[in-house]
Amino acid sequence: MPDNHFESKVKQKLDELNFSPSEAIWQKVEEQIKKDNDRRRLLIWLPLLGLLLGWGIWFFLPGKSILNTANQSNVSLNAEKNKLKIPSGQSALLKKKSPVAAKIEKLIEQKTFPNAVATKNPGVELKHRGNAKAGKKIPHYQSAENRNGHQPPKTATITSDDKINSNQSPVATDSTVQEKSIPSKWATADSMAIPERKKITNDKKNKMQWGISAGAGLSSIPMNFNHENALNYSTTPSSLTGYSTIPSQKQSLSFHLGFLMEKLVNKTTAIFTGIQYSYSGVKTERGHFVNQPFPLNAGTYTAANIYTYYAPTSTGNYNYTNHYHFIEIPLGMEKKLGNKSRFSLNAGISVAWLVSTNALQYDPHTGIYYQDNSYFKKTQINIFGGIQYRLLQKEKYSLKLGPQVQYGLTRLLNNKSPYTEHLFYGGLKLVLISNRK
Amino acid sequence: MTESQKLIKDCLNGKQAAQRELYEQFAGSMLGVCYRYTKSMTDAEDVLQEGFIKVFRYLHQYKSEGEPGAWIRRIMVTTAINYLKRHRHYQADLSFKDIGLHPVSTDNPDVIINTKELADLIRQLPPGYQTIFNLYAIEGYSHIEIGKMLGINKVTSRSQYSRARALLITWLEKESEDIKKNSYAG
Repeated sequence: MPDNHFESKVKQKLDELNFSPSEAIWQKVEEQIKKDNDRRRLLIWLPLLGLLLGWGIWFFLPGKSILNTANQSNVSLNAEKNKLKIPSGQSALLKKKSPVAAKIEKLIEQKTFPNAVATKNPGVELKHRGNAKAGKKIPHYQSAENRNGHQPPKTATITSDDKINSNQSPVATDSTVQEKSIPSKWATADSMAIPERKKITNDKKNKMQWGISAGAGLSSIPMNFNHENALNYSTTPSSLTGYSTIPSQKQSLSFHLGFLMEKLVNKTTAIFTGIQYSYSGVKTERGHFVNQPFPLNAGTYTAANIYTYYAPTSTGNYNYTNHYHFIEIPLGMEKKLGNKSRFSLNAGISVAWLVSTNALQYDPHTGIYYQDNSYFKKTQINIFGGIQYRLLQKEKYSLKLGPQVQYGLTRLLNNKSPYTEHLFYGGLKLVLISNRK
Repeated sequence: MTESQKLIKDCLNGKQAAQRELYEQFAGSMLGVCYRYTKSMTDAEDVLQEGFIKVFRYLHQYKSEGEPGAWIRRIMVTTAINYLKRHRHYQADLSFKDIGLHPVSTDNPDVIINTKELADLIRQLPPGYQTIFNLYAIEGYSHIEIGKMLGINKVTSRSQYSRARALLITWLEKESEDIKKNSYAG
């Protein structure tokens, strides 16, 4: 800190220096504040998107037992309001333990419904805690009976007013059902019959399909020089330096490979998600390699040096490919163009994480290329869409093929860079997926 | 809560009126700071604009312990230095070449010229000298800090400052003589 009188006098004088800035400056500052606020709002939406994605994954996960759901919902069913039609002679059949009924009971007891136990009371062969809906017949047992050569039984309607006496004769108890709220451990084979049937139906409908997704095509990064967004470039640099504002870039190979889960929503619509590795490449040209410190503005309020870079050269440039490696989670919907059509449209959104890159940054003021990965936004939100044709519809696996495009909603570079870049991909997508059977 | 703290809080809450007020409060003096580091008013306004965008972007990092003016000034100074490094017409003269100087007759000349004239004299220094003089004499940074900021040795910073100071004193003496001559003539 200078303590000299001269410095003090100069400082004192210069501290009074004051000018009136033009109104245009505030307008630009205000505009930038609004843009920053918009960016923050987007960041607020991201967690919601994450939640949506989480829900999507949960929705796709197999193993949600419909039995359990049915059981829970039935526990609270008021038995007194129910009327249940049970085939007459059914209890007798159960007592006889026909092979099919015995097998079902055993299966439910051991595996499907551990809380369920068959009653041992001979007088009350059939305990019911209200799983069956009012007045519903139980064709499960009818079919079992038919298979064993019995005539179709008559049906008897019972109500909760019917009293059950364990000392009554078997004939008297054949058509009776105890209609009380019974703890779940008293659930029996009879109570399991209807949900079991539902499970089979729903499992077919909600069957998950697994597959492999792959694609290849070309990627490019359309870019704009945006000095309003870029704090450090208040003027167009080419007018000052003679270097090109936009670096030369060419399309290059891009591909992706990953796993896919697909779930049918209705006959023509399915939703899908998965995880995949995506690679994108963009070709550019660089100058000769220089290994010495170079002061460069880092976009923050601290000065930064770069230590290696590619300087412009008059002898000719070298080809260089920027590689981008992503891990990506797509979430989309596929819609068949008709019940029997082989064509389908798909669209969706994906979240991608930039795992690594060797991409170079370009400084339009000096024409140099250098590597600095702090310029990249690691999380990218993309939208995609395409059309597919199902090639092998009747085989065990089906093959879908079609053109696909993807566009990065998120800027690839953050605000440190004067460029707005969005990743674009166009190519063919191939999906190998198990057929529904 | 002081008035400035409330103003900052309102700015952080996105109140446009507060943001405008903060700008109005400091823009004039900060343009003076930017003016000292640059060679033209256009460049000074560019730096001011960049600096204020950073001020509002990083306002959440401001600690209420200090004066907001000092914090904003630091941002302006570093923004100005980055600006100088980035632009070729400044960069070419940041090489800190030696300039042959005549010895000065006094170490503590009278500063009888007005503020704007003094600032213009400082702006006539070569950019490297101008920056070091501003950082050391006006902002109060040490030569070690200046060395880190500019990527130069602290000894270089010290020697360049001495030359900048001598050059400025020479010009001030000349200015004082001219003023005295004009006053006698009048």
